[in-house]
Parts: sequence; structure tokens; C-alpha cells
Amino acid sequence: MAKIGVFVCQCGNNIARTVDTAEVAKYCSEQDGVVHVEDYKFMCSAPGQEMFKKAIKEKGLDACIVSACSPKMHEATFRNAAEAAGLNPFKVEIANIREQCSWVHDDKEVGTVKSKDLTKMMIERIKFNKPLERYVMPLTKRALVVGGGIAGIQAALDLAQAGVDVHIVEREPSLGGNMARLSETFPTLDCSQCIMTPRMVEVQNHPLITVHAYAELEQLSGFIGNFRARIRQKAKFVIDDLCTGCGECWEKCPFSTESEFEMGLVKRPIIYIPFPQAVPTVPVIDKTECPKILKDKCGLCADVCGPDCIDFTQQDEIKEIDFGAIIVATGFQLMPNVYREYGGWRPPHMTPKKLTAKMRKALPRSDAGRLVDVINGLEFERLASASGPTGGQIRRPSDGKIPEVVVFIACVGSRDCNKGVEYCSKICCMYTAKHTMLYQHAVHHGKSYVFYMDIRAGGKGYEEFINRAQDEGAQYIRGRVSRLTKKGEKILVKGADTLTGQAVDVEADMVVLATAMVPQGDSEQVAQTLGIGYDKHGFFSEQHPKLMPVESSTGGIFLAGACQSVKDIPETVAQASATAAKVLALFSKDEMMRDPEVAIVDQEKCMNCWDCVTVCPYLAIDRVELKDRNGNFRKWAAYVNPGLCQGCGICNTACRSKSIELMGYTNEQVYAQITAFGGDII
Amino acid sequence: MIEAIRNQARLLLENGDVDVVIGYAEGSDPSRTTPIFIRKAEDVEKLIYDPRCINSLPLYLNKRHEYTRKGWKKTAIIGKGCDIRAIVQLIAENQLKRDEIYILGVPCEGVVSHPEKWDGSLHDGNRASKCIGCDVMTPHETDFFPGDKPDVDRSTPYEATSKNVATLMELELDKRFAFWRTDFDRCFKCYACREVCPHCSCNTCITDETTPSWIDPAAHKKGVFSWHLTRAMHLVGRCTGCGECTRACPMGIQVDLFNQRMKEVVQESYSYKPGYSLEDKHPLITYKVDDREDFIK
Repeated sequence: MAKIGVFVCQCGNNIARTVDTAEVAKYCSEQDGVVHVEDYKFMCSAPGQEMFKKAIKEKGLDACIVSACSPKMHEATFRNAAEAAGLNPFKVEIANIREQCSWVHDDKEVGTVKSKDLTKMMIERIKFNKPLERYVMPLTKRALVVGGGIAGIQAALDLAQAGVDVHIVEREPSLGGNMARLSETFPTLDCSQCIMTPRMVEVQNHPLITVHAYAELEQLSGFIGNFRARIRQKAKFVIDDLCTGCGECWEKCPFSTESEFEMGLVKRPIIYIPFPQAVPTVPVIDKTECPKILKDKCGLCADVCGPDCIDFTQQDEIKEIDFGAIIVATGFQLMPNVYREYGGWRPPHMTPKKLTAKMRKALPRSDAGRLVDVINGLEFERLASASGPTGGQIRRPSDGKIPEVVVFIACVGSRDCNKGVEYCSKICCMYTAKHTMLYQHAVHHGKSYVFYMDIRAGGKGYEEFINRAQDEGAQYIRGRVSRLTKKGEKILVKGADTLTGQAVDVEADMVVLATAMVPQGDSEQVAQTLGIGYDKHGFFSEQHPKLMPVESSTGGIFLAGACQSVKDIPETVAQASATAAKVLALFSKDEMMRDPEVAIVDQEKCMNCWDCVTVCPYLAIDRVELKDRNGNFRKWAAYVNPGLCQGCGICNTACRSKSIELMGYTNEQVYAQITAFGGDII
Repeated sequence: MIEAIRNQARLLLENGDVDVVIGYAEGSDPSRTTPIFIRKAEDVEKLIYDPRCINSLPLYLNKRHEYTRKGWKKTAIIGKGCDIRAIVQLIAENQLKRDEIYILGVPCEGVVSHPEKWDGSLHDGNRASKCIGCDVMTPHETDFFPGDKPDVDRSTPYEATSKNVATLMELELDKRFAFWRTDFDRCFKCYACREVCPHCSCNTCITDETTPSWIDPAAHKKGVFSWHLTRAMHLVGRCTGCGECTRACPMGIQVDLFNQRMKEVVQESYSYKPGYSLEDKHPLITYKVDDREDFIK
């Protein structure tokens, strides 16, 4: 016979106002199996908990119900207290008579009856509660950082400085990401590369950090504390260990193609490093363009290479490495193809001369494709950057002239439900203000106009920065631009000033679009590889928008930077450090304790339809072969990995044969709970 | 037509390509046919096919049944379109592998609704309701088909649901409930509907569960209602509409009305037709971004 204790809490007056707790306690004492009841003002207080522990010890209780607030509030409190008193914590259940009863009813009679029912249901349920033990899982104290931009660099450095072995996987040939492209950063106008490159070098030189540049995460298996990553090291055709980074090869390479790093504004050689400060300073050969690899012609780089480190036969290499935690910092891109909206669309990195007849036909308007002087924010950053293609002189792409009038258009693609994304891209107001300043500093007699919807400058020193931009000569016009057309050598910007209600036409030499920040094009694929959630835009979803902003939906995977939502650099760095703190907390123990409230499979009953495998959002269910005693194959069955299972219960609902049970919420428990409430349906 | 099938079956058995051929043979009286398992090449002459062949043979491919445990590696099966839908669905649900079976497709002009209705020919008076508007009279997934297989447009919705469903849906809610109360009064829970269903593949049926006993085993209204509603829910997006449950019911309860209605709902809501794809999972366990959400109020 069960020895159940029921502890009814008055919660000051919170519960007692609409529930006669003494009456509930009396009713419970009459139930089968209940040997002890208490009715107390604050069960969660220190004396309340002492009373709870004392009752367990003295009466030898083997299960306890606390009729109080939501289990979200104090389930852990009472389970810990029970553990301290020598009772298995999973033999404690909460009957929620506050949020689900006293707070939502006015009538004391109704509240009392409902509290009785809720508590009785838990009494019947707890008779089927089994003592559960937490799982002890091993832990690999090595972290993987996916993405080598500022977020990944920050997280890796923080972790390495705390003594954690870190690997960074970066798909480009160099670390740096988008931040390395920026010329100067708001709101202090310090040079981006000057603050970025020392950190890149620090990463490179840190003994605990391994950089896998020009590599991609291909597959992830395992679970929190015990991940296994399959990393594809793309063939560089250059032997890392021998290369000195002297530069002979990329200087001599006779072929070229558009530079991705320079946003296609200039060409780069086929054997290349993306930018001079690249880390690691090992070039890669672009195998889609190299004539030696494609047609076995040329091979000049191998001839000039002193240390003989060029190997045209190199293949992709697969590395399998175990990790305990993963930080995802895959960053953002600017919304592609926004030029189309303004009639100035052109294929990326394509000058009009190179347009084929077919492409011309595909273009939306007759003069479209010729507005090469309409550029996006990152392209402007490269034009303004001292290390950029123009050496820091702002020259327009079409003819290289210094533009006298520049129009900046804010909110291109963002806050636009029809043609773009509905969210605010957040950083554009600030970087547009920065661009006007960079332009004014470079071209003193120039004139800059900003067409904006609203100015959003919430941040330390941000509002002041906008004011400074206006003081330095930028003319802000509140209104949208309807279209851009070519007028001689200039671009006619047709816009409106909604404050004066007048149409505004500006003849500009160059137009800069503050294009919306969107996730990387393959972010959904990355999310699926990692098994984490993502929203409709492709941003990775955090576990809780307020209280768990850096955790992904999967345990042990954390999110840093713009892959989670639009962010500026300070926020990105802060979030990256936050993920490092989370990883350190995870790594602070030698083993992991996992909640035992996970699903288990009755493998004999399992009919292997794999519906559970299809629905599991955590990839926690595997297909396993059952063998007989002679080792012969007998049948297939599902197996739930307790390290991965989060106890959501979706597999239970999908399983027709009722072969899966969620421990702590077994069919017997739930059935007993429901039937205790009772009532005939027909 | 049947000669070509017999020859192919003979060839398969003689070459040892298959261990058994499941088909139809003459039954105990002229209006009936019986399923037959042929293991010797000389027996293939027994195979027949005509509108009396109403049994759903894929039932025997279901792992729940003894036949799959006889050690037969490869089975040839005569399939009319609706049965092949059931086979395809079994494969999609991982209850069967495509290379374990050899499908002998037959051109079908419809079958009778019940052997008792057979009067020597098939006509509108005795045709099974599932055959009206059928789009798999030329089967969709076969290994062998006598003659040429014409292209058929199968993009249209499922075959017409029986008129009885529409009639029932027109009734007021309480009248509809009254209909089922009277109809289910006759059910004594023999579970023929379950035993004949090619898709009921659980090792232990939920109705046989005892810890806890989700479905009251007694044949009172509560037990009967919870059984039939659970059965209907378990077949949502999976039922391929062979109509065997209604035919097998000794009390003449039209239990497949539920399934037909569910099939309509699934088709309308998710544009999903079970039994046409070897890979697609049914809509209740899959999520697509463009899934209908208008029922969430």
C-alpha cells in the first residue's frame, strides 16, 4: 500500500482566497493510500520545506503531492527537498491549484471542488510513479565553432583562454567573415580590420585552437556532451605545412575571376588568399576555374613555388572529430538581388558589356542592367576601405569617377512585407549614417542624401552618432524612393519627402542601398545538418526568446551572432561570449547528469513503421536490429537515445502501437489520472 | 489476360524467382472466389481473375500474419489497382520491402460489392462503391502487366466517396450521432474489421492493451465507440480504401464510412493520397511549411 503525503499550500492568500485548503486537505486524507496531510501558508518557505522533509522521514512517505503553484515554479524545489530527505525525486508531483485553479476562479466553492479533483487526480497518478534515476553520461570536453567570423572568433578565444580545446570550421579560405570586409565600424569609426586581424592572428597562434579553414561541417551525429562531427576539408591543392605564404603563386597566376571578398568589384587570381591579412595565409586553388585542374594547362604556380607545396592531385579529406558542445556562428549575408526592386537590377558582379542577349531579355526594364553605380552596403564598405580595390578612395564602379552626389536608401528589402522581409534589419540606420560620414570625410565637397522610413538608433552612443552624421552634412529625407533611372551619366532618383509632402528628384552619381541582413543562403540546410530549429526566414531559433537566448532547440548546441537574428558587432560579441560561458558551464563537470524523463521503447511491441523517427525533432530515435541469442537478426525496432531525448513526447502521440512511453508520464500514470477525474461519455 | 498472368506466374515459379504466388481461385460456390497460395508451377492453372475477386490480398503481406513467417523470401501477388495501393502504402510504412514482392498487375473493371450480389455480370446495381471513379483500373505500380499500360492521369482527388458519406454529412450533428448509436448497437466487437485490414499492423493492438486498458473490451456503447473511433483515427492518411472492413462485418455495419470521410478530409487539407508513393510519409506525422492552419482558431 502506498504511503502518500499531500501538502496543500495556501500561498499566503493567493490560493486560500478562492480555495478552502483545509477542506481540500481533509478530503485528501480520506483517499486511499494517503497517510499524511498538511495545510500550510507557504509550503515553499524554509519552514514549509522543513515540514515536508520531516514528514517524509518520520512517516516514511513513499510519494508526495504538493498542491500548490505551477510545477514550473517549484517542482524542482520540492524534488530537491525530497531527495535531501531520502525520497526519490521523481516520486514527487505537483498539483497546480494556483495558476490553473485559484487564480482563474472567483467562487470559493468552485475553486475548492476543482482543487479536490486536481489533487485526487495526482494522488491516483502518483501510485504509478516509478523511482527514476538520472542518467550519467560521459562528456567530451572539446568544442566546435562553426563559422570563423567575429562571433566564432570571440567564442573560440573565450573558450581557449579558459583552457578548452576548440576547433573552428570556416568554409572560406580565411577567418574573418563579414566583419573583415568592413572599412570602419559605428559608432566610434575605428578601423574594422585593425581590431579584427589581431584577433584572427591570436586564434591562429593559440595552442588550444585548431582552425579548419576551407572546410565544411558535413554531418553531425550524437548528442550533448558526445557529438561526432564529420568535417570535409576541401582540397586547397596547397600543402598547408610547407606553404610559407610568400605570395609568389598568386602574384604570378595569369588567370582571374571575380573576387568574392571584394564583392565582385575587382578580380582575384585563381590561386588566391581572399585578402592580404588572411589567416591562415595559405592560398587555395579555385578548382572550378583553374585551367590546370580543368584542362591540364598552365601549372605556373607550381613552377614558381619555392617550397614545392602545390599538389594538383590533392583530394577532399574527411575528418571525424568528437565534441562535447557546438557553437553555431554562421553569420549573415545581404539580401541578394535587391537591385531588381529599383529597376536597376543587374546580375551579380556583371558589367553591362558582359551581358548576353538572353540576360538582357530577362532583365525587367529596358534601361535595367545598366545602373552599375547602384551598389549595396558591403560594396560601399569595400570602396571606402583602405585595403579595398580603390585604396580607400570612393570611386564609382562604372567609370571610376569620384561621385559628387550620393544617395543612400535605407530599409531596402527590410520592413517590407511585399517584396522583402518584414523584420527591421536593425543595423542599416547606423551603417548608413556611417557611410555618409565616410563619404563626407573622403569627398569634402560631396553631397549625400539619405532616404529613410524611420531612424532606429537604440544603442550606446548611437543616437549621438546619427546626429553627428547629420551635422557633418548628410541630408536626411523622410520618404521612400519609387524608382531609379539612368539620366546621362547620372542616376535619377525619384523619391518623396513625406514630411513636406513633395516629390523629390535627385540626380546622383552613385546610389547605395542599405540592404536587409538575411541569413546565409544555406542556413536551413545547416540547421537540418545540426538538427536545430529555424524560423521562416532561416534564422536559427533560440530555446526561449528571453531566458534562453543563446541555446538552440537541441541540447549542447549554442547560437552566436547574426545566424540567430540581425545583430551589430557589439551584440554579436556579447552573444558569442555568452555561448562560451554556457559551454564552460557544461564542461565544468566531468560527467553529465541527464533528466530521466525521456522516452523508452518497448522493442518487442515496436512494429518499426519509423513514424517516431520521422516526427522526432531532436533526431533522438535510431533504428536498431534485435538479435536472438545466437546472434541472428530477429527484428527491427526503434531505440531512443536518452542523451538526445528532450522528453517532448511527440513520439508517444505518433506511435499507434503504443510502444513508446515517456518515463514520468507513462500511459498508466496518465490513464490513472484521467480516470480519477472520471465521468461517463455515453 | 489471365493466360498471360498464369504464364508469367509459371515462369516465376519454375525459375525460382519467387517462392509463392498469391492470387484468386474458384471458391466454394459459383458466386465466390478464394485467395490461393500457389507454390508449384503446375498449379498456376487454378489462378483466375474476374469481378468476383474482391478479397484484398495484400493482407497476407502484412507482418502481423503468419504467412510472412514461413520463410518465403519473395512473393508474387496478383494485384488489382486498389490492392496495389495497399501494397505501396505497406512499403511506405516500412512493413514491406519493394524487392520482397513481385506485383502481377491486372486490368480491373471493378468488382462486386459483395459475393451475394453476383448475378453473372457486373453492373451498376452490384458494383462496389470504391470502383466508381477509380483511377487505378490500370494499376500504377507493377512488375508485370499483361499488354500495354496506358498512361492515366492520377492527379485528381481520390475516387468518389460513397453516397452514404454525403448523405450522412448532410444530417444534423445529433441525427448523425443517433445514426451511429443505432448502427453501433449491433457491433459485438468481433474485430473482423481489424483482422481484414491490410494496414492494421501493430503486434499488439491498442484494443488488446491491458496496462492500461485504453479501450473498454466490453461491447457496450463506450467500448464500441472508443474502438471504432480509435480505428478510424489510426487509419487517417493511411487507409487506401479497399472497403474490406465493411464487407467483412458480419453485422453489416458500414465501418468504412469513417475512413472514407477521413480520406476526404486528408485529401482536402493536405492534398495527400495514400498508396501512390513508395516514400511519402502520411500527413499526420509530417510537417510542411505550407500545411493548412486555418483550423487553428
